[in-house]
Order: sequence, then structure tokens, then C-alpha cells
Amino acid sequence: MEEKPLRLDKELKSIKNKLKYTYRNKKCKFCGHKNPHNYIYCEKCSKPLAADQEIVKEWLIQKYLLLLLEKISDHPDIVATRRKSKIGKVEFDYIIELADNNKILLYIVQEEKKIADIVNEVIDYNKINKERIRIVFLLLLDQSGQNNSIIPNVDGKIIEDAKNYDIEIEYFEINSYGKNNPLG
Amino acid sequence: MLFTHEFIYWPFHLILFLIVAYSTRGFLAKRYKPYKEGLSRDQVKVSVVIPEYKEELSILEKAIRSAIYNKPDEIIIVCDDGRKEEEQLIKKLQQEYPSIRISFISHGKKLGKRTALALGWLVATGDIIVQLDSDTIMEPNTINEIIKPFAGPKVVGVQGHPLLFNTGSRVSYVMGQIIELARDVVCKMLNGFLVVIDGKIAAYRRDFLIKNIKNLLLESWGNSKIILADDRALTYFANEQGYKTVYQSTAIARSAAEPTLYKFITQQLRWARSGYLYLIKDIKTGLFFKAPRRYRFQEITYLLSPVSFTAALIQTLFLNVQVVNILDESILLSTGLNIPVFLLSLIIFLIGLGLTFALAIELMKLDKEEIKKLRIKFIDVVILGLIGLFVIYPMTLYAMLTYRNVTDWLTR
Repeated sequence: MEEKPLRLDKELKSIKNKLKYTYRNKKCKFCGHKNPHNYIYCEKCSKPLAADQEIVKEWLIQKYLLLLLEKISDHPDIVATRRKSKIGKVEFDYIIELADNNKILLYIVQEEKKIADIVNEVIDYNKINKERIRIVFLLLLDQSGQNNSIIPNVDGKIIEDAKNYDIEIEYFEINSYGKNNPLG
Repeated sequence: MLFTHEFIYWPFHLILFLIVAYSTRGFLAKRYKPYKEGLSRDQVKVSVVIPEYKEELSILEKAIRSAIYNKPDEIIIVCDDGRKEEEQLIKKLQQEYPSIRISFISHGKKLGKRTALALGWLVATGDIIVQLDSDTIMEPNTINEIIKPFAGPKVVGVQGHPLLFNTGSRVSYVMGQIIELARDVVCKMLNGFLVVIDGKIAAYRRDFLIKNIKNLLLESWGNSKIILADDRALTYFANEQGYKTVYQSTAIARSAAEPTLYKFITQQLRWARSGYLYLIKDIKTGLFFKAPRRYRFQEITYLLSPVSFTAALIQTLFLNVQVVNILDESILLSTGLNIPVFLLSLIIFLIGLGLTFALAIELMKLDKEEIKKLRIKFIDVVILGLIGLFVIYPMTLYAMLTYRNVTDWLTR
């Protein structure tokens, strides 16, 4: 049987494209810094490097919602959900209202400095509303288990303060190298 | 009698039962009128949620495209089988229709249909969620029609009008289509308090769905979790909580008929099992007694149909049917023809069965145009009658006895 001649130029072009895609440096859209290809967040300004940040954010929220559904028996009934909703001055990415005055607030971490402010805002809110609140900080980790310099800096005092006002703080961290993640 | 040459199955009892049940349903359905006025698209945000599990890609593509032509605010496809091909298909559609938000949810592990649906609802941003099966194709105005009844504040669930398209076996297509057309009559009769809002094409208020996520995911029977019949469960919750579940016959969508007779029978088995499970649940929780009379009538006839089949069988086995003997003798006397009793019995049985089936279609006032499209011949009626009598009815009896066997997706 006659073998088909290899279209080398075509093959090479395809490999070249793949290499270009895999090994290109990721340029930060915000500060212009060139990051290694496997970074999710910019090593200089800590902003996400994904082409479409909304896709990453949505994926993180879905991951948390899935976990919530898997452990639904541990939670009170879901009453309502809201997106991009404010508590005080802070806009949360997703709010889940549960029965018996419980609330879960999802916040996708992008900037280190904000975490303490967010907790303080929710404390202020809960001084009046007296609800049972869980603030969930969603973080996407890279292969090494780091989220590229965004290490939550909430000190013990703030966490204690929050507890006094029925507020729990949770970090929901996901490794970006898992299966089915939007970054590939 | 079993031990005489006259033995043949004579389901008089069943035929009488069917005629009474069908004509009553047809009569009660007469009052129904579809919702002409109501909520319009500019008043609400609509999300379409399509749960998917091992669906044939060409059919899935048609389903998504039909949703796109209906111009909802967003389309969410929840894939539970983690195939890469679906992702590629959706990316292609996203590029083709950049103005419509098409989301794809896949988390690489099997969630089960109920969890997949609940995730879709949580992610959705619409006030109304249109649930579409991955093998179902909407008509261009289906969403406009299905949202109309939501103008009523107590309406939380709307059943669209599912019909079938042929994918292989003519028998399963014709039989399935007749069942869908019969369901159309039942839904018209039960409008306001439906037995089930079929998930092929349904719409719900998102608020209602969100509030019932925990009920749906933790629903159990005895010690086992119910993982089948999400549509039956949601309708049950709505009825139990005092909401209205209504039918919009003008919201048409066409679903893929089962390609083989075997698959059709397993589908019917699955439906019948969930039907009996919720019927018992209705009675146990007292919903049955609170429900309107027409709902109770429907449930009782559903319960009695396999019982009636058994009664007909017993009647055949233990009662001596003299009719054929008398008829055979009179034919011999008048014409001199000596027809074997067994053969005469068989001829009468087949003609009777065909006539009963044809009469049932007429009595139920099934959609004549759709029936015409099926081009049913007398031989079809006899074959369908035989399958109905000797396969479907014994199967419903089996389903009744094994209603606890509620399993996973089971569709493919």
C-alpha cells in the first residue's frame, strides 16, 4: 500500500502553534509585567492573568456551589441567592441566603489588602442585623499550592472579632491544575 | 377456560375500563383553554437550563440551537459526563452567537441529574428557568408561550407540550407519540394541579426551585435516596406547598423518540415506577385527599390500570366465555362454514383490540392533526394494541411491584 506523504510544513506549523501557546509568557493586562506561563496571578501586581477573568471567577463560584450541594444536609434550606450584591461598601460575588438568618458570602480574592476591610465591613453590618454569616474567600492556587503572593493577611484579632459577631471566615482554595478548569 | 379449546385472552374488563377512563378524561379536558395573555419576554429574564448526559451530539446541537432561536437571556448546559466534544460544540456555538450568553458547566465528575439541575439553577440568573431535555427541540415561540401563565402569582411551574420526532423504530415512535398526545389530554384535564410537569419542556420560577433544592436532593423513600424522577418530585413539592402547576399547550417542543422498542419499554418502566412511587407518597402524605377530584380520578385510574389487566387475565383463565362457541355454531348453521373456535376467537380478539384502540384515540379527543401525521393503519393499531396489552400492561404491573427501584439517569 502506498503511504501518504507527510505534510511536514503543516505538522510543523501546528507544533509551533502549540509551543507558542504553551510556553508563551503571560503578560499582565494591568501592569504589563511578563509572568511565567504557569502563573495564574501576576507576580508583580497579584491581579489574575487569565484571558477572561469572568470565566475563572464563574468557575470558582461553581466549584463552591457544587461543594455546597454535595454537603447540603449540613446547611439550612436555601432561601435565595444573589449575585454582585453589596454588604456595606463591599460587593460580594455571590450571596446565598439560608433559612434561620444564615448567610454565605462568596468573595473572590484578587487583592491582598482588601480582606481585612471586607471582614470589618461585614462586622459593622452584623452589629445591626445580627445574622449568622460565613464569609468564604475563594482563591485559585497554582501548582505549588501558592496563589502567587495573595496570602490572606487577616490577623487573629480580626478573626476573633468576627467570631464575636457570629461571623465565620473560610478559605476555599482550589488548585488550578485540576481537571476541567477553565485555564486548561 | 384454560383447559378447553375455547381458551383465548378476552380482556373485556380492561377494554371497558379503558373506554370509561378515556372518555371521562376527554370530556373533562374540553374545558381547557391555553393562556393567550400573560407575562411577556420584556417583563422577565429567562434562563434555559439543559441537563446533559451522554447525549448524541447532533441532537444536543439541535436542542441548543432551538434554545438560541428562542432568544433567552442565557443558556446553561450542565454536562454530567465530562466529554470534551461537548465543550468544543459549545465553544463553536458561543463564537457563532456572541450576543447570547451560553454557559457550559462540567466538573469532571458525575453529579447525578438532580445535583446537575440544582447547580444549573444556582448558576442561572433568570427569574424564570426553562428546563429543556438535551434531546428536545423547541419551536421558535416556545419560550414566549411557556412564560405567559407566570402572570398568575401562584403559578410556579408550567408544563409545555412535548411531542416526539422519529429516530428509528416506528412502533416506539407511534406508541410514544400517542402516549404524549394522551398526556396532552390529561394535562388539559388537570390544569392547575398537574400530576407531573414533564422535564422534556418545563418552566419554573427560579425562587421556587432554589427554595426546594434541599428537598429535592435529600428526598428519600424509606432508607434510600430518590435519585430518579426529578420532574415528578418538583411537581409534588409545588402541589404540596399550595402553588399552581399549569399546562400551556401552545408551548410545543419535540423530543427524540426512543430509537428501539426495548429502550421505549425501559423508559415506560422508569416512568411507571416513579408514577407509582409518588402515587403512594401522595396518599401517605395526604396530598391525594387534598387534591381536586379530577386529580384523584387520574391517580385512581393510573393505579387501577394494571389491576384491571390482572382482573382481565383472571377473568379469562377462570370464567368460561361462551360467546365464541355460540357465534361459531350460528356461523355453521347459517353459512355451513366450519371455522375452528380458536381461529374465530383470535380473529374476533384482534379486530376487537384494533377497534378498542381506535375508539380510545377517538374518545380521548387526541389532537387530530398530530394523529393524522402518524398515518396509522389498521394493522398498526392491532400491533400497538398487542404490545400495549401484552407488554406495557404487564410491565406496569411489574413497575407497581418494583416501584422502589429508582436508579440513576437510566436514560442511556
